[in-house]
Amino acid sequence: MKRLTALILLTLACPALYGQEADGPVEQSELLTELMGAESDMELFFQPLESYEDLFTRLSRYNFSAVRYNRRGYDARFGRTRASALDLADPFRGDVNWTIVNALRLAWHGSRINAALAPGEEGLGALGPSSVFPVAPGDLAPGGRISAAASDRRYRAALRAGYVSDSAGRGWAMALTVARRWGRDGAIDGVFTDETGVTVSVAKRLGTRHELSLLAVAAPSRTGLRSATTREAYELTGDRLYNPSWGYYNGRVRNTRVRTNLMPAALLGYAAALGRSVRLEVALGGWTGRNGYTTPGWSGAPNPYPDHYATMPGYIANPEVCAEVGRLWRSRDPAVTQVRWDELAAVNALGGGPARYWVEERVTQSRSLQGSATVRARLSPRLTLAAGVDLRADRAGSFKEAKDLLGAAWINDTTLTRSRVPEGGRFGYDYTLMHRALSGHALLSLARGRLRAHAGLEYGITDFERRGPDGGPTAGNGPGRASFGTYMVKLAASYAFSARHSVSATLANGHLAPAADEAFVTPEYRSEQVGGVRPIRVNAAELACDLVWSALRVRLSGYASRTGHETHVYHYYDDLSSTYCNLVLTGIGRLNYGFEAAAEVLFSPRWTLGVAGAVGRYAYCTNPDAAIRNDATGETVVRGTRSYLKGFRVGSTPQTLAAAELRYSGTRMWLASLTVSYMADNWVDPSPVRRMPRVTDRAGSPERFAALTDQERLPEAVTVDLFASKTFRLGGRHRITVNASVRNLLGRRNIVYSGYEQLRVRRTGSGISSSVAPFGSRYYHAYGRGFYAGINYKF
Amino acid sequence: MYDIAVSLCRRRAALCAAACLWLAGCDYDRFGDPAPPAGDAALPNLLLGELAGFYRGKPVAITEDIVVTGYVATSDSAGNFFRTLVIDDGTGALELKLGLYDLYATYPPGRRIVVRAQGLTLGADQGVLQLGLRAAPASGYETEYLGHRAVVDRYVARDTAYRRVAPLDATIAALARIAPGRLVRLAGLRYDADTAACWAGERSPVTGNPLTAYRQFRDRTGDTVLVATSGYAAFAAGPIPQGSLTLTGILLRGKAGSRERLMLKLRDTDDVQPE
Repeated sequence: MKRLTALILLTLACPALYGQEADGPVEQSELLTELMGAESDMELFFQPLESYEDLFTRLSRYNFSAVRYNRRGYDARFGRTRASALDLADPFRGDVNWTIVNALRLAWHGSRINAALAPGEEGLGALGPSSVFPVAPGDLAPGGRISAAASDRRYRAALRAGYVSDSAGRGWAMALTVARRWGRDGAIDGVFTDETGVTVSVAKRLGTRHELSLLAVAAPSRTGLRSATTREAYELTGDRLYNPSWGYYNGRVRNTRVRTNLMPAALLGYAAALGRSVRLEVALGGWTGRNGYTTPGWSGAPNPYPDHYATMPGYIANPEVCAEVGRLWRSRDPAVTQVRWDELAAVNALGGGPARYWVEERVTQSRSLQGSATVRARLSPRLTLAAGVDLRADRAGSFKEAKDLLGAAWINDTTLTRSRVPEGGRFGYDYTLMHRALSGHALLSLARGRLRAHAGLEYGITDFERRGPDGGPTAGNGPGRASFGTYMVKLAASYAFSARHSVSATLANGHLAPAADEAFVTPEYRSEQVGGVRPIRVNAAELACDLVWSALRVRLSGYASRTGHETHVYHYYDDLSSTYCNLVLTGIGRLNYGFEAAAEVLFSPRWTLGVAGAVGRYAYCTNPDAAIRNDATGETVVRGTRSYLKGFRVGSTPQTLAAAELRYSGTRMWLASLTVSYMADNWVDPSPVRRMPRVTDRAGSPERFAALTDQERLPEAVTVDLFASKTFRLGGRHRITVNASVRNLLGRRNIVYSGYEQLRVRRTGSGISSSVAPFGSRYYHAYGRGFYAGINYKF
Repeated sequence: MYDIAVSLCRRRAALCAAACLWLAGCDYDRFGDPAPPAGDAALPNLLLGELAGFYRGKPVAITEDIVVTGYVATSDSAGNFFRTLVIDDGTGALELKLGLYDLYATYPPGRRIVVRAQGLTLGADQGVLQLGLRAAPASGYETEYLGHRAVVDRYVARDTAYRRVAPLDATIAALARIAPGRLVRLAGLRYDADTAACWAGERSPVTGNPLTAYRQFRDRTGDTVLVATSGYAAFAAGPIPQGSLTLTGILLRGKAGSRERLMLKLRDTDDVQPE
């Protein structure tokens, strides 16, 4: 224990020695995917329990981290992520609370994933993958662990120390982890990580039938992000990892896009065996905290981004100027390729008066309070029932804060306060969204001989409410409220031909609540709801079979789902009306179907080959209704039209995948694996604006029409990853494991991680030769060759 | 559990020390106040009034190391000046065809500007001396916009010195002796029409784009001057005040119809003062 405490102190002290370095823009899910890719092999090795529900999940989970990957094309809205009984869904954005997920992963908590449609151990499940983080001390291998790691992606160094007590003696069990990860990215300028995580999990058995548990997790973090940019910018810089988000500030690298998170969470659980075959589980938990991300703001001044379309060589008509600007880009002159912080501050200083440039932070202060009660009963030797109730209340206050006025004294706020706002003040918008959900669920499972059957029902009601001062010319809307009835029905059956071979089929039907962002048009300023917003309709089916022989395991599955009545609101600058607008799409439908196959071959006790492959098609199956509203006034700009999205592919995930992993488990505790992954059929996210008649009707020729409407397919990607580890026994429980991995061994630098079409279009020509052309799409590229090395001491 | 708690308490001092070290750690996102802006205080080797002597009615490439300075006399905030600004050093004026937007933020009125003209082309438009890039022969203009900040920075630098450009008080009759491009102020003007009008508002019958409008004003002696207003100006649709006015603007000598006329180009509505 003394040694552990000293090592924990060392963990805390180290950042001060390494974090002060000499100096010389993703989204949360993207950040997490890349982190997962870097550490996957380390965590696989240390997973003490059977973590995966199916073979395809285990073989594919980390191997496609070079691209943005959504299993079966389902984004976070259609999956479930829980930390034990704590639901980590973000009901406001239709996403996951990545802050807490990252905190759990930082503390060595891997998740169990059930990607099958059928209900699993954790209950009814969702349409997409269900992830559960087991956080009780008993879920982790006992003993202490200290690890140190180095990487060149996102951070440079990581330290972790943890201890899990034996679940014996006085009925107490405890797990404590302290972790720290910090450093600048080795390949992308401006990207950095500075995060700390503390997780405490305590369990106490009360007698032989009762157990209390407590989980507390906190992980303050600060990360510098990168931004997607255009192909032109990547080609001019010759750098697929070019990041336009940063610039030199007083000689130091400063990123315009910094995300800060502090979201401590806690979960109190109680479990009791009420009889020989009845178990009650009650949980109360939640989180409170703050997420923020910074972005530059400007008013009455030129756009500060270096890759703004009007300043790129491709937009410049004068050939001499175009050539000169292109030369400066190719020479990587930071005055052209990066944000000019000195210029932004100079404009403020020389202009006097209000700030023309500033750094604003978009803050969300969240609170979630959740309660659940579940009874699991074995009604008979063949029949089990799990039934329960879930309650949830969330509150998210969102506002903009004037974080740094770059030397100016105030901002002129023309929307919220309509006054001068000093540094640290709120401006722009300040509103609160509230979410309440109550649901009941029941899952009946029958086991009769070779047959297993499940029938599950979940029914609930979800309520959103918007409150807050309404700014702008449409003040006085008052609170807005939207309620949705939700349900999910699943019927699943499986038949075991033998102890090793089985086939299963599942049907699902349901209504899911939309996210709050999809229910309100402009929650920043008004309580107006999206007209015609309805619960998302879901119909799905899956057929799967598992075949197991002594040296071969095979899983095959086919799936299909159709969703409908989705809504989405886009906020963008509409070039045709020259105003900032909101595009409201209703009636979005998607059709996802495909086939997955996985096989694992044991050539010998030491050699294993795993292969996984998937072919799918995820596409829009409706032409949603579209309406465009003026963002400032709410007035209708366009109504009664459509966006012709039908047939276009859903972006942000490859629809053809394959991976082959050769694994060696050698004598003297050697491990090595070589993985080849293939990702194809990846499409750029289509812009609904470009497929509306008001835009396509202006195309002056068939070629220009095609330029507007053709969807770009991203290039195929192949990666080779290598992992090796060696464990040294030191006697007793003491072991040291050294591991290293190389990602993208071949160093391929042309892999596109993801891409999206911009919502803007450009007017070209005049008079009878006028037309419109799309803005260039924006992309993220995957890392080139990267490494991860770690040493772990277990005792 | 008790043993663990006791152990941790005994190391309270060490824990505090470690925490202090930790809190003093990573400063990836901590920055102080920005450095004061650096200004270019270079002195001119030619006055703007002298530079005008280089222009002989057609564009001329500047091949000498000529440095001129002046204070910004115009603002594009109201949209009547578009992608250009005029500097004035008291001896003359020069329009810089920078080709950028929101120039009033980057080169605020009153700020001193240093121009290193070697490599640029000197021309004129509506009588106003201009500096820009060489224009294509068929463009119809004598100079071209610089068009990009990186190119502008090669020739134009900003100083921290500030002086508000004071307009020259004149009469319409005396305008012929003032070089175009200077900021002038004319008092006692009345809109020379019986019907109310806006500063601009007409649109092209072909393209539908807003057109520049010319409104005639007459002083007490009967002399007239035109006020040119871009159809894109923020005040274009605003009504011209009735009664006697003092107008301030940049002096132009341009064509309205078939005749060459003296004109004023206002910066914004503050240049219109009722008397």
